[in-house]
Amino acid sequence: MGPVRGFKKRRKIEKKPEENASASGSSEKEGSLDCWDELSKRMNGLQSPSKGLDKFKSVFNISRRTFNYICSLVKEDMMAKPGNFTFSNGKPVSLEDQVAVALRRLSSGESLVTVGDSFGLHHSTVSQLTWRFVESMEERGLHHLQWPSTEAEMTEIKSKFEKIQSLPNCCGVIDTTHIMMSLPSSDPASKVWLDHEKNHSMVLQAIVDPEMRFRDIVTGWPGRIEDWLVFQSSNFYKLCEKGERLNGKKLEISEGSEIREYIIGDSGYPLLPYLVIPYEGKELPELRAEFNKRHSATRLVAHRALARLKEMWKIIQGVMWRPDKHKLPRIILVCCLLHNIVIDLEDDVQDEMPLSHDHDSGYHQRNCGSVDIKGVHLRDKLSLYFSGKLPP
Amino acid sequence: MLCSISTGKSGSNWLDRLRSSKGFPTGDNLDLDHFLTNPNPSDSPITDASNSPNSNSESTHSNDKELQNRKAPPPEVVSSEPAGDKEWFGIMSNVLSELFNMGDQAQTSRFSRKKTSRKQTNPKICIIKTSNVNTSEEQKSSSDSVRKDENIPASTTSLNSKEEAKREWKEEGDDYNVEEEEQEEENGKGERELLGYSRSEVTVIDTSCEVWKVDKLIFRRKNIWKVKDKKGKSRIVGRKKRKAPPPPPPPSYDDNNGGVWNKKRKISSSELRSLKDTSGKESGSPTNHGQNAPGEKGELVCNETPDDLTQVLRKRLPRKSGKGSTSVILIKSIPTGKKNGAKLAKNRLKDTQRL
Repeated sequence: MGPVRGFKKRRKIEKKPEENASASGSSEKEGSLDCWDELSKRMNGLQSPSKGLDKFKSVFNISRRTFNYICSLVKEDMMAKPGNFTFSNGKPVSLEDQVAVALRRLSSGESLVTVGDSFGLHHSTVSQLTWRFVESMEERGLHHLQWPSTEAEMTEIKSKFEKIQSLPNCCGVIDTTHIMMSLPSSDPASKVWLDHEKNHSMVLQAIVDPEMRFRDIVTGWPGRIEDWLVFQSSNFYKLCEKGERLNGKKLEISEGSEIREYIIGDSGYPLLPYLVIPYEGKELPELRAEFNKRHSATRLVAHRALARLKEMWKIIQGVMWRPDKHKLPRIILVCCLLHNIVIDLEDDVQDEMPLSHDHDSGYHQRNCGSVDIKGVHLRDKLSLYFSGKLPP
Repeated sequence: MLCSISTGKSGSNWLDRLRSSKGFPTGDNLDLDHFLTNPNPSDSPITDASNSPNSNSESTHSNDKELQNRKAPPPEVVSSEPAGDKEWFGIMSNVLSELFNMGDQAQTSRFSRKKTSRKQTNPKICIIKTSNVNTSEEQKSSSDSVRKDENIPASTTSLNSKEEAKREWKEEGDDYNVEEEEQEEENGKGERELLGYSRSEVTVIDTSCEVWKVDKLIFRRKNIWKVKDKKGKSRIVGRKKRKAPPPPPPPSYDDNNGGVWNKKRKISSSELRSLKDTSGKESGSPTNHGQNAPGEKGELVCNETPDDLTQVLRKRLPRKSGKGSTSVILIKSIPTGKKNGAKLAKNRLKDTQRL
């Protein structure tokens, strides 16, 4: 992007304070043309600059402020590498343009050609820009997706979980979704991606906090691998087994009765000392039914998070056309990062998103069925705890 | 059926054309006579003998002829009696006329070439037959049809398609036995302990890992999954991380879980231990896994080698420091050399070409 340096234009429509000033603050404001105006002019059906703000959200699914922040994150990488990207009218592609193109690709899920056409770029440019963005984001934005590292952070998470359905000392919800792909059935190599529902898919396992933030993800495994196997292969599991995770403060719920830190998941996971799944069976006794009810209501957080992830970043929604299987996990990761950034920046687009929880339609619940005795104790303790809380 | 000998004897006529247009072999009177005299076509010595040489000669010219030949019913194949002198003469004259363009028989075959459909009506049968023919062309075409029809044994598969076909079977086949798979896997280099497993390469991202992006090799047989870290050329970017690499965990799995997992998942304890065993040695022999193959449930045997990973991490740290609060020290202490940058940039270049 050498030629583009110093050519950058800043927009004036919105001047909210930025969390990271490196992009907007330091950048030259000499640019008389607003990049978004430019873009919106270029893009089909977005001619009205006065409505630019709303349109912006509708096009990129994020606010200008978030957009600016993302630009600041990737600025160095996107600008560092020489690239002679120009629009079809010969104008060089600025940083904002680059980010806009990549975000458009990720958020709309439209084909390279469609995105390219809407920006006046060749589809290969869209591909390169998107990938450059993905590579940059996965390094620069990774701190937006981390397991809580401080006790204070964890305490906050726990208390927020408790507010949902009174689950005490709960640290997260684990869930799995499938990113579907369209692979050539004639290619034997694609058979490994064929899952139980006869789709080609890749697994995304996420542990979600009460604000729908992803706190831990594992992705890249073929969709046929069971949820519990993905979990078992994850480093989260290993850390838990070693007592290096979910090893924080225990909560004393009654005299001599403590509840350790744990996460919850559906019955596709094993019942472990630190992973609580619902009781199996129908017509459960009231205690257990009550527990299941709260358990399930709390798990909605993860369903919603995954549904929103796919809803906002449509490139991983629906069926992806013959993706590179080594790149797809990285695209998924970046979508998760973007999802978290929207939450971290308190972008109000998230309030406008409908709360869906159907993130994996067509996939049936699979049962792991394995039970650890310590997990049984923990679950019983929790359901007892609720019984005390039940109204008389 | 019973085709080629006739073409040598007679010129093209309406009957031939009619037959060929209807997809029948362009046989002629001789064959019909033969039918009359010998109602059981499988006993005909003529047909089989006539087929192979003819297809030999024809195959150099067009595929249509081959297809036509293969359309013949299976019983022919069974018969392998030597042909009489008379028949051989017919065949040879046919071949010669074909070769030297004597104009004697060419017409019929030309017609048949035009009219018969390229599609095989019954490829399964044809395979058995063509596998007897040694022409390279024939072999190739037979291997093609092997790919189309997966029920056909691998004997005729060409080298190129073998690898593909192998994997296909593995994914598809609950019916294929272990021997077959093992035999195929022997072609794969090195992975002797993973005989019969299909091999795929995946990139796995685990944000709780020291190295959050790892290329792994998946070995799969039905519902058994084995995982190995791909060493060497994996593109690993170190994550800014607060903790030192974890020591290999003790194989304390059974103690912790009271073996309940074991029972449920029908996995032997040794295999389970291998999940946690990071000593780097391969876990479980393939035969063991075969025996333990669970019905619906699977197993995922990880063979992690944290030591290697850490080395890679040290070697290929990201060139820029991130915002990670705890990671700063580590990152800063590493000089961001040109080499790393160049390497990364190179990777990028490579990557950007194919998003």
